[in-house]
Amino acid sequence: MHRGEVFARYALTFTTMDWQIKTIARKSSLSGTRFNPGERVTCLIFKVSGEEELGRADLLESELGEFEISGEVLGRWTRVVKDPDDESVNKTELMSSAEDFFFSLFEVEEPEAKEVSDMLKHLLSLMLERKRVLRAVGSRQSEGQQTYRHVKTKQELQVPVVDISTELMIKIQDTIGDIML
Amino acid sequence: MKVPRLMIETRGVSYGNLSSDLVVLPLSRTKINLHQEPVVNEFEVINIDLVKVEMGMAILIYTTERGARALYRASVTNNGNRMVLMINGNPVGARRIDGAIQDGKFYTFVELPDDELEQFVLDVKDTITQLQAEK
Repeated sequence: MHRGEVFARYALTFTTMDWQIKTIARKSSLSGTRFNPGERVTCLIFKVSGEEELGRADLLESELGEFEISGEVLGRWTRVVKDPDDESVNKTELMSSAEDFFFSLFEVEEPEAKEVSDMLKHLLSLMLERKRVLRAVGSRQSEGQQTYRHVKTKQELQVPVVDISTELMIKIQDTIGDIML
Repeated sequence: MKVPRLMIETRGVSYGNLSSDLVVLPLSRTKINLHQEPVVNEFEVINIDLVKVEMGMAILIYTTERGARALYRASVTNNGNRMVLMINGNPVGARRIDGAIQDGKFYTFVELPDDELEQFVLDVKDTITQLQAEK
């Protein structure tokens, strides 16, 4: 095969998988009402009942009790709504959201959602390790469990080391792309 | 000197990573937006080899323990995105990540003429030796 042809084929594979990422939710998942800048919004991530899908609900704190989740809640974080014209990213807030979400994954242990919850724990732990929020303890594991220490609180956590398929990564990015570090 | 670095493509919509650089691969003219921070820097590359694979000659990069961990983290958290080999800040090859890289070895094709590949590898090896000596 001619070298140029190899690159052409190789380059072609680059264009066959485009991300389908939704924008950050600007409306309430309950009422459909547009959020106002400064309002605190809770983002709930859940596994849709009976499906291999991740769901997300963005709700005002006052709406939390009213929204019926069609699945098992895996975790949550809270964000403050910014002005739609403000495109700047507050890195501290982003990190804090990812950290909150990571810890919330340990609060609920639903057997039905264990597999996807484990993947999210693994993914978030690697992101937070890169940002030095977490520190891997002991030898680096490529299977089983990895111990992490939360640098601020010294709390130790056991994180399952699992495979995350490209397909699931697309779903995860579609759902929590706004807090991926 | 030929200074190697591995860089990762930004995600489709980079909510949290607005600082990216667009690079263009020299032969395929493929455009890729990259994070500005390298995944593996020049001090974390310990060797480079030319290897023959099914589709032709590829470059195999060996990383330090620290580089291997960074490569592993990036390969899991950026599965589906492209990892780009940069030399002196210029892209020379890219590969889409399709799974966790656990052994600290990264291979990619490079978009350079065949007759320049051997010298290219020797030059990068020389640079690695110099950089490791300076560490």
